[in-house]
Amino acid sequence: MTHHSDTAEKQAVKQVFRDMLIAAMVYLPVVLGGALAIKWFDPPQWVAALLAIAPIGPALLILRAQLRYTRSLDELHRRIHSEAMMIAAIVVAFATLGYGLLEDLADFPHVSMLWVFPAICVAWSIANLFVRRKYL
Amino acid sequence: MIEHVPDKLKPVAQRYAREMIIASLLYAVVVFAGAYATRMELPHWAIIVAAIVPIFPALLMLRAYITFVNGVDEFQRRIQSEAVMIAAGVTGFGTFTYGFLEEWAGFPHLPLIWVLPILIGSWGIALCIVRLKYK
Repeated sequence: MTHHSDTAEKQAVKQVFRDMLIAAMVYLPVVLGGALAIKWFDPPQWVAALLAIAPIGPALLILRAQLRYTRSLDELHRRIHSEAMMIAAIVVAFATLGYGLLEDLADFPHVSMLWVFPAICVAWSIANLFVRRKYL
Repeated sequence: MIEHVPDKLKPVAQRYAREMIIASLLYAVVVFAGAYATRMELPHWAIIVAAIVPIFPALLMLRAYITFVNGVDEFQRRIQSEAVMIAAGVTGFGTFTYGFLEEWAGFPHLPLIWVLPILIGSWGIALCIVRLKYK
């Protein structure tokens, strides 16, 4: 890896960190606020549906930050990131399929959808370590 | 999905379609057999086995996809990986939001079994959008 790509990656990391922080600071209050508002105020269904859909806006900001980061990287780093994401998505998809079948057919306890996103993040980080080791 | 397939992609795409159809047929058979088996008076361990078996044809689908991605050129691979990234993001945030609504706002429980179809569905839509962007 050259010095140039090192600096470029550092800059890209700074940029994505700033973008993510802003997007997450919008996303979390919208999700938590929406869910709590529905729980406490029992609004009419159309308001509840609007509150439920609202977090998609800041979530798209997070997605945009990630895509911008990936596009700013050189070919090798982009490949590492996207390969790790592909592995993470696949691992989580099949793990949830397996557990979903157990939940459905063998009466295993219910696990909330809430855990899918953290699972993707953790799997992505772990996959990143392995893929990085393969390429760098 | 009907679309124009470049000539050099044809053998790879044909192989992908063939392997995917075989894996899907196997998957459907195993899932229906498993669901049917749970209605019979089987011991709990047998039901667990019946629930896990569909993972294997699903892994065949995964193998078909990996073979496909490895067989295409850098440009096509980039389209695929960008689409998977968008799909993972959409699925991640979508399920996260729904999870909160389920936990706190009493929305009906959605089983985890739906994560894979949501991922594949959003991946298909993302693939169309990314392709349009690069055209």
